[in-house]
Amino acid sequence: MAEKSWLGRSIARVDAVDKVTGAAEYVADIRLPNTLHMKVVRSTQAHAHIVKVDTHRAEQVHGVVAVVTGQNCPYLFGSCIFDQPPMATHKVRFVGEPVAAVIGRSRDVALEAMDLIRVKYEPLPAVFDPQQAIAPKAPLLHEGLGQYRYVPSFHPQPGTNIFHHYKLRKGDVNKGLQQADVVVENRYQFPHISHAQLEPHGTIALWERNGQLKIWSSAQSPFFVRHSLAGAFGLPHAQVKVVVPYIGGGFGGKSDVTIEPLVAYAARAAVGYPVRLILTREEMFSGTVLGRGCWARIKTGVQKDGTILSEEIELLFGGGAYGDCCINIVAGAGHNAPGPYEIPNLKVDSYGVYTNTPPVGAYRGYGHPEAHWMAERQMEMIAQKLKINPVTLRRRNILRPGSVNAFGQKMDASHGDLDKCIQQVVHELQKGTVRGSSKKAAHKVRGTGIAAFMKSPVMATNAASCATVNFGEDGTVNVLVGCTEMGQGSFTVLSQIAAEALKVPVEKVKINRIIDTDVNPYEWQTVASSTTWKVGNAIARAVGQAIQQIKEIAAEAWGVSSEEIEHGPDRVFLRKNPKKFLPLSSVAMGRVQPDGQAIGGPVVGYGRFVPQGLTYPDPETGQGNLAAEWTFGCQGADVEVDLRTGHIQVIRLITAIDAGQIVNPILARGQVVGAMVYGLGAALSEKVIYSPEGWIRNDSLTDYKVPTPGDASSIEFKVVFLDTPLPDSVYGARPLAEHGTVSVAPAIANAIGHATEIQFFALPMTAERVVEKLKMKEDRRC
Amino acid sequence: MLRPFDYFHPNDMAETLTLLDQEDETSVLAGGTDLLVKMRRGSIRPPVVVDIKGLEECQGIRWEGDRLSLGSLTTFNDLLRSQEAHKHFPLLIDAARVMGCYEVRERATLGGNVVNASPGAESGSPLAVLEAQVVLKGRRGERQMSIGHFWQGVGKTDLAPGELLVRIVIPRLPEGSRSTYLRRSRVQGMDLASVNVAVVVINPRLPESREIRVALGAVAPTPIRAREVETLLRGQEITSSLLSQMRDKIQEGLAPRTTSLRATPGYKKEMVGVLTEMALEVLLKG
Repeated sequence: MAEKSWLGRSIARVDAVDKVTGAAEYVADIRLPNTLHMKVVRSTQAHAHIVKVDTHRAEQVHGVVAVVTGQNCPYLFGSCIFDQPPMATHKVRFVGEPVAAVIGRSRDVALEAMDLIRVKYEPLPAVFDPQQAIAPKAPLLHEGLGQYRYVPSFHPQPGTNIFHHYKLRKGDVNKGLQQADVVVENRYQFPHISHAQLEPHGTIALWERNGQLKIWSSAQSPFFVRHSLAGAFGLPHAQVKVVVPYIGGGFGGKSDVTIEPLVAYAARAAVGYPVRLILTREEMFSGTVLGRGCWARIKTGVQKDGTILSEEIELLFGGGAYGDCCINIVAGAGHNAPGPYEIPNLKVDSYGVYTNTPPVGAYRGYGHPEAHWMAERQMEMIAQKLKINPVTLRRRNILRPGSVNAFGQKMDASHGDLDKCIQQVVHELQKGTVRGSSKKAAHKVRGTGIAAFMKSPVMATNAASCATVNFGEDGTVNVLVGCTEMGQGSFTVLSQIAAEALKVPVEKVKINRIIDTDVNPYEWQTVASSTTWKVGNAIARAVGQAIQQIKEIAAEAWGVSSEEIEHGPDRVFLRKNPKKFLPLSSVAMGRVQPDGQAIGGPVVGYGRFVPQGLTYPDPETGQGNLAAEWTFGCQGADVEVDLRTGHIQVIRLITAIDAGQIVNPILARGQVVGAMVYGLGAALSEKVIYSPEGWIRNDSLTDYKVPTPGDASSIEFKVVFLDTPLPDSVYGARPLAEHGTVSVAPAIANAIGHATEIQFFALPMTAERVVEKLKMKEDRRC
Repeated sequence: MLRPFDYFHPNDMAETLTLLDQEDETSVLAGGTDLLVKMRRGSIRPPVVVDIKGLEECQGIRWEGDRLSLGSLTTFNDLLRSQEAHKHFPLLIDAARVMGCYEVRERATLGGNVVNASPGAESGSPLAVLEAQVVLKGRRGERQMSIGHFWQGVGKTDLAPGELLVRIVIPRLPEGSRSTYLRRSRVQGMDLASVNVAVVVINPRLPESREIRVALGAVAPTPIRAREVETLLRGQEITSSLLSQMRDKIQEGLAPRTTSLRATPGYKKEMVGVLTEMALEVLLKG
C-alpha cells in the first residue's frame, strides 16, 4: 500500500457543509433556557467626569431584572498593563465607552429601559491625535497610570499619556547619518480602521449559584479570556469555563478580550441567569477595538550606491483610551519598523499613546502593515532621490543569510529567500505591463510598484499550543485542540496534519468543532497566523506519543520489543516481516488477545509546543531574541489611474511569499488573497472618521467602505509560493495568512507614483485625493 | 433596534388615506430600505407604520398617452425588467443598475426613493432631467406637480400630511433622444453615489437643433438642473474649449455641504463637469 501524503492537497474544508447549509453554530445561535438580554448605554462624551447615572426610571420598566453601572467597579482588566475597567467608573474616555447596562427579560424591554437612563457628564478637554496627546499640556486620560499594574518588559510613563515606550538602539545612528551621502526624511500616516467582521461580537455570561462563571463568546482566544476574567474577578481558573463555537471572522478584533469583561461584570447582577449581549454593527466600531492609527517620522541616511547606513524612526500609536490591547503592537511595530532590511545603525522609538478614541487592538498584520507602509514608501522615496531603480535599492539592502536584523538576530538560509520573492514579483509584473498612457484612453495612465515584507509573530515568550489525540473503537481519530476556527481553515489544515502524522485517511480524523476550556487542551491565543505551525507541531507530537503507546501494545501482543515495530498506513507492523501487521483500529483502544486477555487500553496521545529561546527585549536597546520565526515576501501592484476622476483601478496584485510546505493550496491561496483584499481596503477606502467631538461618523458599512466583490472581482490576484521549510515546524509549513495584507498599500502607492508621479504619505488613497494631488502638481508647473 | 409600533397593511386607497389622515406621525412603508434603517437607528420612531404594498393603484408601469406612468411601488428591479424603461429612458436603467445591491433593488421602490428626498438619490438626477411629475393623493383629492417643485430640501418634500405619492409620470422624449447617468462612488461594489449627473440629448445628430439637458445629484440640497450649462451647450458644436467652459460654468454657484462623508465639495464640483463631459462623449458618439 503506497503512502499517500495529505500535504499539498486542496481537500474540501471540514466545515464546508456546516457553513454552506447554515448548520454551523455561532454565539448568537446559542439558546440557553432563561436567557436574559443586555443592552449597553454608551458614553456620548469623548472625555468627561461622570457626575450622575440616573437609573431610576429604567429600573421601573416591567421586565427589567437589573440595571448596572460602573460606579464603584473595582476591576481592572489587562494582561500587560491593567488599565481598563469593564464599565466606566468615575470618568469616560471615549465616545462609546460603556456607562451602564440594562438586563431585561427580552431585548425589547432592555431597549425600552436603556432609553430611560440619564447620564450627567462634566466634560473634560479631549485629545484625539497622538501628536497632540504627547504635548506637555495635553489633557491626561489616566491620572493613575503610575498606579496601574504592568508587566516589567513595558514602560509606561506616569504623568503623560504614554502607556509604552519601546526603544530600539543599534550602532550609532548619528554617526551613520553624518556619514551618509543623502538623508531622506518623511512623515507617514496610517489612520484608524475597523475590522468589519461578518459576525458581530457576542457574549453570554452565566454566574452559577455555585460560584462558577460560564462564558460563551465569539473569542479568538478562549484560554486568554479565562485567564483574564479569573484574574480580574479573583476566581480560580477552574471555576471559569469559556466556550467558543465557530467564529465569523476575527482578524485580531476578537483576540485578547473585547466585550467579555463587560458582560461578565454586568451578569453578576443576575446570578443564575445567562445574560446575553450581541453587538450591533455600530457597536462593533465603537464598542470593541479599532486597528492601526500610526503616525510615523523616518529619517534615513544612504550612500550614493543605495546602501542604507542609518535610520531614525519615531512611531506614535494613537492607542485609544486603553492601552492593553495595543501595547504589543507598539512593540511589534517597533521591532519591524525598518522593514526587511539590514541597517547597521538604527534608532527606533515607538510610543503607545492614550487618545480619546476607542482602544486599538490586534488587526491583521499586527504592527507590520503600519511599519511597512512607512518603510516601503521610504524605500521608494530614497530610490527616487538617488535615481536608482527601486528594485535594485531593495535588493542591495535586504536581509539575507548572514545579515543581522534590527534586534540582533543573525539570519540564515532557513529563514527564507526574500531576494527570490522580489525577483518573482518583478518577473510577474513584467508580463505585459506597459507604463504610461493607455492606448485606449489618453486620460488613463498605468504603472507598477513593489513592496517587500517580513513578518514574525509577536507573542508571549511561552506561547504554548497543545493537542490530544484519541481513538474510537473503529480506529477513527478525535483530535482535541484549543485553537479556534474563525474562517481561516485551521480545522481543515490541522486535520490534514493529523492524518499525515497518523498515516490514516483524512476522513478518519475529526477535530473538535467547539472549544471549551474545561475540556480542550490549552492554547495561548489563536493569533499571529501561527496555528498551522504551532498547533500542527503539537498535533504531530501528540500523534508521536499515541503511536508509541500503540507500538507498546502491539509489542506486548506479539511478545517483541516496541523498537521492532514500525508505523505504516493505518497500521503497525513488524519491521522484519511487514506482512505481520495490526490495523490501528485493533490496537488503539487496547488489544484483546485471542484468549480474551486485554493488553493496554485506550490510547491517548498528548503533545505540546512552545517556541524555544524567545526573550524579552533589552530595556535600553530593544535587542533580543524577539522573533521565533520569519516569513518573507514581496508584493507587487499594477495600477491604472484615471487622471480625470482620480479613480485608481488596481489591475493586478501579486504576492510572492516564502511559506515553506503548503498544507492545503486552495486554503493557503484563499488566506493570502483574503489578506490582500484586506490590504486593498486600507489602501484605497477604509478610514474611521471622527467628528470634532470624537464620535465615529461612519460607524456603519454605508459609510465605512470595505472592498466589495465588485472591487475584488476586477483585480487579477496572483500568489506565488516559495518553499523554504521552517526548521521547527513539523512538515516545514510557515505562517502565511495575514502576511498578504502587510505591503499591499505601499505596493499600490509605489505603483501610483510610477504611473502619475504623485506621492502618497497617508492612507487611504482615494480618488479625490488623487485629483487634489494632480491639481497641486499642475499648479506647481504653472 | 426597532422600537414597538402599530402596523397596518390596508388593501385599498380609501382606507389607506383615512389611516394617513387620522394618525399623527405615521410613516409609510413601501420597500422599507430607507424607513427601517432610520427606525433601527432611532432617527425616527413612528408610532404607526402603514404598509402600502397592497395598493394596486401604486403599482405597474404603463403609458398614459405620451407619458410613462410608474407606480410609486415600482421597484428598481421592476425598472430593470421594464422594456419601456430600457427603450425610452436608458438613464433610469443606468441608475437602477448601480442602486444598492440586488436584494435592495428587489425591495426599494421608486416612490420611496423620491419621497426620501436624498440629494444624491440614484433616481434623483434622472427624474429631474426627465422633467418627471409626481401624482399625490389625499382625502381631499389628487394633485400633480413637477418633481423639481416636489423636492424642497434634504429629506423635505411638498407632501402634505395625509398625502401619498401614488405615481411618477415621465413625458416621452422626442424620437432619437439619448440619455445616460454617471456617478462616482467610493468603492466599485455597493455604495451610495458621492456625486452624480444625468444627461439627456435631444436631436443628438443635428447640432443646430440639439438640446442638452443636465441634472446634478449630491451637490445641492436637492437634485438640480444645470440650466446655464444647458443654455451654453444648446445648438453648439461641442469643442474642447466649449467643454472647458462647461466645466467652469457647471461649478458656478455650487456649494456642496462640507460635512459629506462621501466626497469633499471640491471633488464634487470638479466631478460634475468631468462626468458631464464623459456623458456627452458617450451620447454624441456616432
